[in-house]
Amino acid sequence: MVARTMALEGHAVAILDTSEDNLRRLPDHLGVTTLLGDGTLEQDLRRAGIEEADVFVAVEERDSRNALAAQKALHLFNVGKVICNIGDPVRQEMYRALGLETVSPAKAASDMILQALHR
Amino acid sequence: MYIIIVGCGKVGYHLAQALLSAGHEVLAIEQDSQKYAAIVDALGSVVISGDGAEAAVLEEAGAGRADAVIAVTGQDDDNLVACQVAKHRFKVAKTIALVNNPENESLFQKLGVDVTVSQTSMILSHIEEELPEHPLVHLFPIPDSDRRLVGIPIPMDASVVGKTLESVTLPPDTLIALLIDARGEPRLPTEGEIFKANDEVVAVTSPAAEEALLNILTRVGV
Repeated sequence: MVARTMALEGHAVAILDTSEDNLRRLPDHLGVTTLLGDGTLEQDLRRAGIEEADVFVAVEERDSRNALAAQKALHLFNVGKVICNIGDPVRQEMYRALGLETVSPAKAASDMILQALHR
Repeated sequence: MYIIIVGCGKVGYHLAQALLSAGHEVLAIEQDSQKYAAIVDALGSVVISGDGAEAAVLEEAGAGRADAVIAVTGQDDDNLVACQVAKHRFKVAKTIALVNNPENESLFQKLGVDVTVSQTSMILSHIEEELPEHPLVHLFPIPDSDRRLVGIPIPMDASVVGKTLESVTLPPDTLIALLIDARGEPRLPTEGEIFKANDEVVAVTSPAAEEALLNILTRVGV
């Protein structure tokens, strides 16, 4: 979803994923570059063009993989804006203090559901 | 000491055993339920089941009073996050991580992991030391900095042979700590001391200055 919207807004987007199935789900016409690879490995990040990237987004399922990938983007490749998905609220607060922008789609969804309930 | 071990595979299991027999209080955290059951059978109730990179699990393990957290899972991301949570959330004094992929070692150090252990780097450095043509040997890293102690043998025909230490300009961030002659006799690097052929120079240097130091000490003279 993020990739699709960003591409529609005219940004150049590259997606790195370890699952071929996930990559296949993306429609061809968006002009998004898809690469099969591991976002926690420096060589794969380079292949995806991280050295030229303005924004890096890590939204895999597991917090730790996102934390490792995002900290590589921030500290090794000096990407200006780094956003990552950290589900655990305690770790979210910690990584925010360590300079990462953290989001939690699960938390956002549950907040919205709770809001709808109270309406 | 109270020591928490995250990941009880081969490394974690032997570590737990060794630390227990040395009289330490040890708690291991293992995510895999089969491994967990096997460890309970072998070591008793010194293991809990869970994801040791999660704050709640580390809290349950008593990370708040732990002297050290050692993360030795097969996943570098989990080892890093476990150490970061231990350090930043629970103020654990010493965090130690196993580094499975050597490219992660310097990042882990930069991010505040106190000690990193890379099996690949260890084997590589042993091999390098065995190779006679390898002129610079990494002796050990200086804690809390990117500097390290290195050893460089001075070739017979190097231009520095016969020169005093003060007359040779060293790269920045570099300090000669000791000279050891061919017979194994150590000498302190006082100003009047001279470089002799086949001396082993022990120096503190940084990764950036290392090549320059090697070049200065081994360049063939005119």
